[in-house]
Amino acid sequence: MGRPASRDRLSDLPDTLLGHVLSFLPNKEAGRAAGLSRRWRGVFCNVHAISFEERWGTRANDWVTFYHEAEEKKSCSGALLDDVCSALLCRHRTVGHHVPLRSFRFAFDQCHHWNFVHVDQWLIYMLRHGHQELHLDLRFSMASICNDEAVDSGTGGGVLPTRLFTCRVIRTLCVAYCRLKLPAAASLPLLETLSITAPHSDGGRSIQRLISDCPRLVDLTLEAVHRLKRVSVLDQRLRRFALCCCHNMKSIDIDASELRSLDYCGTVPTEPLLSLHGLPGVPSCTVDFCKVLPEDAGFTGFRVFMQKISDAKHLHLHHRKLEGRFFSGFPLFSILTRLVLQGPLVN
Amino acid sequence: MATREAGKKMIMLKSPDGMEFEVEEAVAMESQTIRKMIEDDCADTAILIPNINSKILSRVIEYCNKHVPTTGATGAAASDTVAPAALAEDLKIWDAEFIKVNRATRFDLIQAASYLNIKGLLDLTSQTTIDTISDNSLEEIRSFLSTKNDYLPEEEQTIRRENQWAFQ
Repeated sequence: MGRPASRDRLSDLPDTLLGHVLSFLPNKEAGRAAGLSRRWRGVFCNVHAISFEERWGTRANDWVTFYHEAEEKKSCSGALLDDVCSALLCRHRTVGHHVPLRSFRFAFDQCHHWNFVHVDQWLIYMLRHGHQELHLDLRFSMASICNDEAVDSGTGGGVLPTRLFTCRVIRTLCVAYCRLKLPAAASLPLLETLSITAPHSDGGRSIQRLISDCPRLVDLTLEAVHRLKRVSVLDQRLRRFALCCCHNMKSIDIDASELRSLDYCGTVPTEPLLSLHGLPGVPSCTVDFCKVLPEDAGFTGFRVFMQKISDAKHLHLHHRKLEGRFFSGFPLFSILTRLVLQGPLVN
Repeated sequence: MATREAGKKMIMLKSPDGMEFEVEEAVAMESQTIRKMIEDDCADTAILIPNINSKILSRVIEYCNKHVPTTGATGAAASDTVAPAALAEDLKIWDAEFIKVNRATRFDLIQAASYLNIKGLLDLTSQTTIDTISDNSLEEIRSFLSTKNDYLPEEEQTIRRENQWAFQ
């Protein structure tokens, strides 16, 4: 290849490739690359991932700084809004060619309703400019999820645009702390990863309907979906399933024939909560009981539950809420190769 | 070079410097570009891979060989005994070793991965490049990339203004 070693080869790559490389950097760092040299001035327009987040607990309710004492009264989340808007505006700078956005992610510490109009604009832009694949991660709050009813009673959650649920290019959809408000016929033909965290006032049935409307679903996460009592995923072959703090869940039916990993966080189920259909066991399981029933019902429930996943090869068990006696009746894990126990040691 | 095994379709890949590589069809199809050629029946004879020399092409094939999904006759044993999580970890370690190459080779690999449309390899090479330059000042990155700052001082001001959000 006889090129002199001092030659800058990275700058030789075409814009779209440089954009791909810069997509692995945080957006601000990628934006600063414009300062390197003329070659790099417009490269940021080729970045296909936009991602910004607030830090937990920093801005959300600081009304004194951002409203009462501020000359220009604006949202507490002004910095996040400015960042996302600037990054999106930057993409307009090159006329003619347009690199489609592939991934868009934001995380509010807590989203005030003032911000919804911006979020709406972003999402409309995203839906218009996503061409081949689109990965969306939309988080409207960073609250902890295991708060029972407190989460679901929230009224101020943003509403996602209806068009989102008929977008044919979405591959990943992660939504947290907002209202889905599903249309009558959702259609997400390419969706592979779906994660729903603490939706506001969405009925369990509509969420079940959404799951059924995603024929290619392989990765499903449900967190703090309190109105959901029954889930059945029998038409799709999930590879990963996570259920976290859905404390009102009564029954789960899953086609487990291709299930690779199962995460469960919740109470020790007193009823036969989980039904795994299909032959092979789940190779990798993570179990965390955030609440334990002290009575014998909990003990039996624990055994029944562990029995169901006893074909696991990897088990990660958070045992902080488990008393010693739970381990005396532990079912046999005959092909377990890796065990992780996490939690404090108590006598 | 791979040897022909019974029941497996082999594909011949040719680099512009005249080397020929015989690879299993499944391995070659890790590249979406080649997959499309095969599906369109354009792969009866050897496929010429332009712009990618034999040294880089052999490394790309090495990557595809490792990353081809282990299903079917040969892979069954592997996927039965090793849990996928462990397999993924092994692959990561292998990737980290694979990408320990000099910069010129890595940039060639980026270009090859892009042309051949091999997502995993493109992401691996991009991520590695980013790891080496992130958290550095512009001046440090310039010297690392041997790029000259060809902005005039007043232009530099403009650039900063244009991208104020990024410099905050």
